[in-house]
Amino acid sequence: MKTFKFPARHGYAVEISPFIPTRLACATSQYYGIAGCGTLLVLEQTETGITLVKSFDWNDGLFDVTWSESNEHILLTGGGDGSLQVWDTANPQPGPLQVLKEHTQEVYSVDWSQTREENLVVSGSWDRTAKVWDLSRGGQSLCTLQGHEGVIYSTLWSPHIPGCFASASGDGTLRVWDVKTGRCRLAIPAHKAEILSCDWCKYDQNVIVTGAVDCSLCVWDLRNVRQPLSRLRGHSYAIRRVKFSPFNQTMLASCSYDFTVRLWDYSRTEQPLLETLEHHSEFVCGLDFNLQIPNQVVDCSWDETVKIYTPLCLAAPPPSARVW
Amino acid sequence: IVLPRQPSDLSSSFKIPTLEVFRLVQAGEEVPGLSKLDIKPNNQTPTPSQMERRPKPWENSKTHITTHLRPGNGPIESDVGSLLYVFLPALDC
Repeated sequence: MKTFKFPARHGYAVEISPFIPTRLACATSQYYGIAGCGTLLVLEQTETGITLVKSFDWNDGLFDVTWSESNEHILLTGGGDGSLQVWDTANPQPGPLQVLKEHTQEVYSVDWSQTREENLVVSGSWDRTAKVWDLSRGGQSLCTLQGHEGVIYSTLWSPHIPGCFASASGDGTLRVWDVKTGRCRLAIPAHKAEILSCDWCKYDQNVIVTGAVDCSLCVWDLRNVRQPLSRLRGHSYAIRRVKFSPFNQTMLASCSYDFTVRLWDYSRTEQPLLETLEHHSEFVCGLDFNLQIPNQVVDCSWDETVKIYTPLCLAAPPPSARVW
Repeated sequence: IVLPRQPSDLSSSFKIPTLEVFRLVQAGEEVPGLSKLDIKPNNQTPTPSQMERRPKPWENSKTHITTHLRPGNGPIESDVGSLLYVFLPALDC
């Protein structure tokens, strides 16, 4: 396991570059995000450890980060001041290229579309709205999507359906949105608690997982939302982030305020929990799978560290993705 | 900020100075010693990309990605409308 320590900053989100598999970015905040500034860390993993490539400071805490899908130098963060910041790792200047300021409260989620034909970013905010942006079209959002009755914690593009994203909210619902019409197409009362995270299955366009303050993960088939396909219990505090594996249809990873990271296979109905990793001493907020190094996972925590590792349950060659 | 634990749990997870910061912020007071930054955008153009976009693992996969086939279309096409195969008025917004 490789560790990077960043004193006086608390990690909220970590993402591996889709272009450079050894490169990762971590959005951090001072004082756990309660007050002060934020720092975007751009890191590089080596054979033996993790080094700092560059760090960018921002005026407020940073809560999420997303890499561009069309330019290896560009990444975007969401901040406590309600703005999005566009950064260029190859630009020697210390500040962002661009600041997009429309949200009136914290931006807790930013996601760059992975669909080939799109170049869109979606942001989710505590002001209860999601906004869609096309960075090549200047500093104004394309549309604002309203409907949630609580803060938005997570907004994620579908990897398969163009113009479609999911949002997870403090109002306990998972919503699916269609950008072309600007409408919410589905609202699912997925949990009786705040939902902090969601992610799309990479091998079935109808499947989404939610992670909530009730300590559970629910896997949903959007064609039949009367009940979840699977409910995964094991964490002892809120789920902070959940991600589906890029290599296996039914495998996912979650991180929690219980300080652990867990790996699950929801097709194993008897015992879906594969492994629990307890290498942090504070809330674990960020998590990502490496798209180009199979089975490598990265996480970040309020204990001021980023860790890169291969969970034991993934160390064997990955099984071929299962078909439902 | 989401703090799902009870207030009495906070002291076990947070260092004492941070608890003080939290109290000051809640009371609307200035936090002493906090550096105030004034970083602005430079509005420069992005460094041109030199790398090709790589396909995602699921784009390479020979596994059938579950979609709805629409009659009459050649390529498999999917959109949000196909998700409403089972219409549940109580759950739709």
